[in-house]
Amino acid sequence: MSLALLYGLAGIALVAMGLYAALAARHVLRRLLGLNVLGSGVFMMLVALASRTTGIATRPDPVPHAMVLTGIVVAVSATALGLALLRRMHAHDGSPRLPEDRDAGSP
Amino acid sequence: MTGSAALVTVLVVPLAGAVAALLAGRRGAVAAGLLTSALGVAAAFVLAGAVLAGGMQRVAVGGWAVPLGIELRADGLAAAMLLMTAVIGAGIAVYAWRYFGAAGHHDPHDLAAGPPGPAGKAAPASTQWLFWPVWLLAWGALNALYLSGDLFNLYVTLELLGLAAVALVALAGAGAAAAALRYLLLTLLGSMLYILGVELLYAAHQTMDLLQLRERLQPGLSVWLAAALMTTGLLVKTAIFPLHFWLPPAHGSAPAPVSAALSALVVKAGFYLLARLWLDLFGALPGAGVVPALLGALGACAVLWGGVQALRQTRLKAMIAYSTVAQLGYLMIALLLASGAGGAAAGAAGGAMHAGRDPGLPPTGGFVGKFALVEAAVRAGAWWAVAVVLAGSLLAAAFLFHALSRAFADAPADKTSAEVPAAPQLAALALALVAVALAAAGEPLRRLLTVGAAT
Amino acid sequence: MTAQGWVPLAVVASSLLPGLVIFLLPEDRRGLRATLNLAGAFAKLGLVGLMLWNVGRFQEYEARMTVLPGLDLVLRADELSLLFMTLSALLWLLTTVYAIGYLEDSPHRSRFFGFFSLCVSATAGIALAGNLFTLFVFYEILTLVTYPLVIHRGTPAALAAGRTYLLYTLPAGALLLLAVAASQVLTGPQDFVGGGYLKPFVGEHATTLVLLFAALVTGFGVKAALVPLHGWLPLAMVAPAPVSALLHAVAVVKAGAFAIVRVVYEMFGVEFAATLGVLTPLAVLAAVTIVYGSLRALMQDELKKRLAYSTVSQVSYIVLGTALLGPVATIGALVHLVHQGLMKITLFFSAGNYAETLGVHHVSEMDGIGRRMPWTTAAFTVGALGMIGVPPVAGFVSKFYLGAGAALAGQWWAIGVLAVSSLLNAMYFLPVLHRAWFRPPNGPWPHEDGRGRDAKPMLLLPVLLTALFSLGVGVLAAMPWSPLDWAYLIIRREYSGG
Repeated sequence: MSLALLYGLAGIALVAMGLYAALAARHVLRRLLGLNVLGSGVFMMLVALASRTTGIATRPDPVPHAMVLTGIVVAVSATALGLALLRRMHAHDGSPRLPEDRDAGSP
Repeated sequence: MTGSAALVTVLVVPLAGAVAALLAGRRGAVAAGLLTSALGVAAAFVLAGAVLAGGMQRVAVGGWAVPLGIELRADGLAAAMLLMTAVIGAGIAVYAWRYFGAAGHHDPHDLAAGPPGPAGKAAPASTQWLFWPVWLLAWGALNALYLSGDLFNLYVTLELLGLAAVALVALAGAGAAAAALRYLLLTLLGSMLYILGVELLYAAHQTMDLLQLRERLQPGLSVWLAAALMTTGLLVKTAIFPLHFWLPPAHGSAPAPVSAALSALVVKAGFYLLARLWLDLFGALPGAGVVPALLGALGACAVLWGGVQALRQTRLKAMIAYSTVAQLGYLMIALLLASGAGGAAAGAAGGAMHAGRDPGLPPTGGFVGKFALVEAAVRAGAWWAVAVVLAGSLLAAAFLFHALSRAFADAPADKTSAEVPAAPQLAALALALVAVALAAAGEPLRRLLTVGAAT
Repeated sequence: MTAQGWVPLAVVASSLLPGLVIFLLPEDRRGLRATLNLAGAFAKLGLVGLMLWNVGRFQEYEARMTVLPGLDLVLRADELSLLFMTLSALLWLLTTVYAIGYLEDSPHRSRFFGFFSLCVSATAGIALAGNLFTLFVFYEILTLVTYPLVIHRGTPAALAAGRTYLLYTLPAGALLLLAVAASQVLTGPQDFVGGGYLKPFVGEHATTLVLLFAALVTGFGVKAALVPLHGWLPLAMVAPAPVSALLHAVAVVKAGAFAIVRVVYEMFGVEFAATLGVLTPLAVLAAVTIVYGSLRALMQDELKKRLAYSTVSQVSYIVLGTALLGPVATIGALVHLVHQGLMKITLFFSAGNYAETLGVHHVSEMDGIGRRMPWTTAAFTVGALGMIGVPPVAGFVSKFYLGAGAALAGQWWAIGVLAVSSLLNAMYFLPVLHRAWFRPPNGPWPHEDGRGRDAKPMLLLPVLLTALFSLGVGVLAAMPWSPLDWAYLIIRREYSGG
C-alpha cells in the first residue's frame, strides 16, 4: 500500500465521519467540528491526489497543494464566523442548538 | 479602457469598496457604498460593451497559464449577469441608503402587526452601517463567481459569497443568529459536497479549467459521481425544493434591503453555476438528459410548493421568501427546456431575465420571461411544464394581490403616507422600471448572451 | 418604427406619465393633480384627433419594439383601433372631470387618480395593440390596475368584490397566456390584419384552431362579461361611481368586447371563422347573455346593480353582431361599441349623481326625483331610452343595423332575441322613468346634501355632455365622422380582401 493510497483512504474515512457528524449532531459546535473534519478529509484526499508516481513527472502536482492551502484559509474563516454566530445565538436564545433541534427538556 | 482592464476593474471595484467602507466607519460607509455602486455599474457597462464588440475577454491572473494558473473569463452570459447584478445592486444600494437612513423606524413592509418575534426585531442602529462593507463584499464575490472559469476558483467564490450572505443575515441582530447559523451550516455542507465533486473531476482529468475539462471529459462512474455531488451541493445553496427549508427563515428575518439582495442575487448564483455545469460541461455526457429532467421536476415542485406556502404567510417578507423558492423553481424548468431542443434557447434567455422579484406580471421582465417559458414549453410539447408555470403564476398573482388588498384595507384614512420616506418607494419604482427596461432591452441582451455560448 | 411611430406611444404615455407623477403627489395637492389629469386627457384627445384625421386619409401609425426574437410589441393606429381609442379618450376626459367632483374630500385621491390614469393607459394599449401579444400584455396590465380601483374603498364588501374580480380574471389571464403562446408557436410572429391570418394553417390544425378560438373567447369573455363569466361585474358595483363608469363604458368590459372583435375579424377573419363553425356557438352564447342579463336586471332594486346587469346584456350585442356573418351586422357591432359606451356612462353618471346628491341608491326611492333633479333625470332619460332603442337616440341605430344584419345573414332567431331584449329593456327602464317623472316624492330623501338644487356643476356637466353625445350620434348618424360613418370605413377594409 502506497503512502498516497493510505492518505486517500484516511481522507475518505474522515469525510464519512465528518458528514455523519455534520448531519446527525444537534449541538451546533459538534456540527461545526464535523464540517471541519469533513474538510480535513477532503484536503487529505487532495494531498493524496497530488502525488504522482506514474508518468513523466515524479515531483508532486502543485495545484492540489495550492488548493489545500486556499481551502484551509476558507475553512478557518468559515469556522470563525460559525463560532461567533454560535456564541451570539447561545447568548440570545440560551441554547447551543438550532430551534428545530431544541427539546423541551434539554438545554 | 480595454476589455481585460474592464474585467479586472469589475472585480476590484466592489472588493476595494468593501475595504473602503469598512475603513470609513459608521459615518463614511454610506458614501463609500454609493460611490462604489456607481463605479461598479459603469465598469459593468464598459465590460459588456467590450464583450459585445470583441467577443470573450480573458485575463490570466498573475501571468500563470491554465492549468497551473487561474483564468478569469467574461463571455456573454457572464457579462449579462455582471450587468444585471450591478444594476440591481445599485437599486439595492439606493434602497438601503434610505432604509437605514431613517434610523430605527419600524419595517414598513411588515403587514401583520402580530407578535414581532425574536427574529423580527429591527437591527441595532449601531451596527447597521456594517451592511455596506458586507454587501459590497458579497457583490465582489458574485462578480468573481461570474468571471471564474475554473472549478476551484468557483468554490472559493462560492464560499466567499456564502460567508458574506450569512453575515448579511446576521446583521438583523442577535435574534437572527439561529437563522444565520443554519444558513452557514448548510452552505458549508453544500460547498463541501461541491469540492468533493471537483476533486473527483481533477483526479480523472488533471485540470480544473472549465474549457479544458469540456474537451477532456470522459464519461465514467467518477464523472457521474462528481456531477451528482456538485449538483447536490449547488441545490442546497440555491435552495431548490426540497432543500429550500433554510431560505424562508434566513430571508424572512433579514432587513428589507438584505432580503432583496439575497433573493434577487445571491441564491441565483448557485443557479448560474448549475446552468453552467449542465448546459456547458456535463450536458455532453451520454444520458445526461435525465438530470435536467429531474431538476425540472424539482423545479415544478418548488413552483407549486413555494406558491402555496407564500399564500399562507401573514408577513410580507415571509411571503416574498417563499415566492423566491417558487421563482427558483421556474429557473429549474427553464434550465430543463434550454437543455432540450436548441429551439428552446429562448427559454434560457427568458429564464435569465427572471432576476427580478416580481411574480411575472406585465409589463416587467418577469412577464416576458414567463411568456418565453410557456412558449418554449408549448414548443417542446412539455404540457406538464405549461400547467406548472400557469398554476405557479396564478399562485404568485394571488399572493401579490392578497398583499395589495391588505395594504388597502389597513391603510388608515389620515395622511400617514407622508411619514414613510419616499426613497424606498422610489427605489422600488426604479427597480420596476429597470425590469421594464430589461423587457425592452431583450434583443441586445440576447445578442450578448450568444457571445461564447457553448454550442 | 415609422416616422409617425411616436404618436401611438405618446397616446399611451399621455395618461401613463401623469398617472406615475400623481402617485407621488401628497393628498392636498389637488390643484396640481387636477391640472395633470386634465392636461393628460386633453393631450390624449388632441393626439387621437390628429390620428383620426390622418388615418381617415389612409395613413397608418405604427410603433414596434422587439422584446424577444419573433416577439414584438406593436402599437398601431388603424381604423378599428381609433374607433375604440376615440371613445375611451373622450370618455376619460369626461370621467376625470366627474371624478374630480365626485371624490372631493375623500381619502386616497392620489392613489385613486394614479390607478385611474394607468387604467386608461392600459385601455389605450389595448385599443392600439397591433398583434395578439401586445393585446394580451395590455389586457393583463388592465387587470392589474383596475383591481386597486375596485377595492378602493377598502370595505369588506369592496375587498370581496375585488377577490371575485380576481377569481374570474386571473385564471382567464392564465388561459390567455397559454393561448397566446400556442398561437405564437403555431404561426410565428403575426400582426393583426384585416381578413385575418389564420386561414393558411387550417390544413392540419383545424382542431387546434377551434380550441384556440375557444380559449381566446373564454379569456376575453371574462372582461366582456359573457354568461357564465359575468359574475364579477355586478359585485364590482361597490366601487365609486366614476370607477363603475370606467369599468362599464370606457375600459374593462369594452376591452373584452373589443378584443373579441379583433380576434374574430383580424386574427381568424370573420369568413374563415364561419367556415370553422365557431361563430354560431359564439352567437348563441351572446344571445343567451343578452336575454339573461336583461332578465336579471329586471329583478334588481338597486339602481347600479340594475345598470350592471343591463351592461352584461348590452355588451353582448357587440359580440352578437361580431358573430353574425355579413357587413351590416359588423357595422351594428362596431357602432354599438361606441353607442353603448356613451349611453351607459350617462346612466352611471346619473346614478352617481343621485347617490351623491340625495343618497338615493335604489329604484324604489326614486319617486319624484325628476322634479328634484331635472337635469340629471333628463340625461338619465336619454340614456334609458337609448338603451331601449327608441329613435333617434344612439341605441336605435345600433339595434337597427344588428337586426338588419341578422336578417341578411339569415339568422332570424337573432332578430327574435333582439326583440325580446328590447322588450325587457323597456320593462326595466320605463318604470324607473315613470317613477322619476310622474310620481310624487314619498317622504324626505335618504341623505340630502342640503343645497336643494340639482347635482353640483362638476358632476352635472359630464352627464349632460354624454347625454348630448348619445343623442347626437343617433341624430347625426349619417354625417361624416360619425361612429356609423367610421364603421363603414372599417368594414370596407375587412370585407374587401375576402
